[in-house]
Amino acid sequence: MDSNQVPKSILFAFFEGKATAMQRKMIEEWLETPASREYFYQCLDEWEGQHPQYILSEEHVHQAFNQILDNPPFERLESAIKPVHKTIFGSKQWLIAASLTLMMLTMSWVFRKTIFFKTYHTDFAQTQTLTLQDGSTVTLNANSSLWVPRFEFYKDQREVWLEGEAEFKVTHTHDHKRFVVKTDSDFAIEVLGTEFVVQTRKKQNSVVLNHGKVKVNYALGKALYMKPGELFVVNKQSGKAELKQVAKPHQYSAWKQHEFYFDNTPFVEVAELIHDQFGLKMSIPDSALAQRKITGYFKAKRAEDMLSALQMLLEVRFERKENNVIEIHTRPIINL
Amino acid sequence: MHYSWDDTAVYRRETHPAFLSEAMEGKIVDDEEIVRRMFRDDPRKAFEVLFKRHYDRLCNHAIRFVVSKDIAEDIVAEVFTAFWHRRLFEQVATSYRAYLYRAVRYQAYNYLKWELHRSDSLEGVDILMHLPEQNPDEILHYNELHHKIDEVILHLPTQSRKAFLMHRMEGKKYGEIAESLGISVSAVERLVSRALSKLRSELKGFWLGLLFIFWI
Repeated sequence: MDSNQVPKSILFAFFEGKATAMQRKMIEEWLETPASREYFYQCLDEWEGQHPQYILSEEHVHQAFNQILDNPPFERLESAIKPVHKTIFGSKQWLIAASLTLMMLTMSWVFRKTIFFKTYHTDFAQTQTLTLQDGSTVTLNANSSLWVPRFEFYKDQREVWLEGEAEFKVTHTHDHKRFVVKTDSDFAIEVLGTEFVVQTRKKQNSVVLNHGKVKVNYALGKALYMKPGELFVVNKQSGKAELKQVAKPHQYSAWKQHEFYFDNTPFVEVAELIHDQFGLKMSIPDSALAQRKITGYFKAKRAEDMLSALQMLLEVRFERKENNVIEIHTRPIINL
Repeated sequence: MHYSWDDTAVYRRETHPAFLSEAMEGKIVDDEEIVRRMFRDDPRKAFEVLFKRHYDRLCNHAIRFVVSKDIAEDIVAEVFTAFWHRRLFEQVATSYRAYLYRAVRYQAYNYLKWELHRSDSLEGVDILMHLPEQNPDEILHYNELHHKIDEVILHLPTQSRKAFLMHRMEGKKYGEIAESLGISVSAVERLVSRALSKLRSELKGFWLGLLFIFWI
């Protein structure tokens, strides 16, 4: 220990908020070297040990520890319920040797999926409301799936997996069990009794919060807390994240009433929604049309309702082709 | 049961050979050193020792900033999660202890700043991997920040302080607080939000001080 060592007693006085300005200056100057920083944190730790703000039981610490071991930051549905094929197919020499094992593995995993998870799925233009064991309700939007563990739902935390879009109304349990919505990407929402809408489609993941508080893990090691009335969007390609205040959060669950709300939404995004919602693929002929802005409410139980409204609005004509492709004619075709 | 850093009993219990031989030679072995060695041989066990060693103190440190058990524990869990699952224990150049404290302080600071000022510190969250270098003044500023927070809370009007602490620290619902204080739910709401806005206004200069240092 060098002679310039700041005594522990002065550090402790500082931690307590009782150091004089001169003592603070002394500590500041001393802190320039890595060794003194190490000593600083060592003393801070010792001081914290002597001045607890609240007491954590050993049991509680143990639980917290197991939770961390069991919960890698973003366990994906893929790896949770399906074997990972990529690693095996990646190297050819293993292919033959592994094929038999893989087949057996796949069988047992598929089997596992049906045994351990109850799957709910909605088709295009269909919504479904379901109640989970804990009383929480989930409304699935069209073309969406939800996996709910049959047996371990209550284990450490309540976990479900979502593909598509859904509104959650989560109940609070007596033991404050977390409710976690996981998705296929690095995106998971942790909840403590709340109401929110999650969307996980091809292009973006998003969450709108109506009531309560949620924590969103949106990329490896990135997380944020949301407050009611906020919309959080992560673009899947660019990874760009955006948090913004929305005036009417309930508009984001308008699909429950087969209503759709657009506010200066580019047509290309509307087309994306039509694809997610009704399974129709719009082929947009030019970028000017793609960027045309659309504003308003649409009530549409079937795709046709929305398409006919859009035809008028954009002054175009839609023509349904094979494979659910919609061709767009920018100049009206006059049928003779 | 609590161990202090100087208390080597906990490592005797681990009966780690490296420790035993050196202890028998009468050398003082820093437990940090021992945990590092353990990470080489049995990371899972080492992580458990490290976690149980630090978890409650780190939560106790974080709570000084965020004034909520849930959030404090969340922040500490996040730091440990990254440490384990992203194998940061292979990369941390300082002592683990120093890393953990720095990471927890930084995360707690970000959270609080976000909560009170709604600044979108989204980008500030992926720093567990590369914590920003801190100069001595910044290091000390963290401690001064939590003193300031404590001071603001201590000087709140009694009812407001009670309601705020019951709500934040104990996670009680407005209804429960209303009942135990014998006031209406909307009065509790007002008391809590008044406490938050007091924190917001009192800490204004404090953030700027720190922000200045961060971005210059």
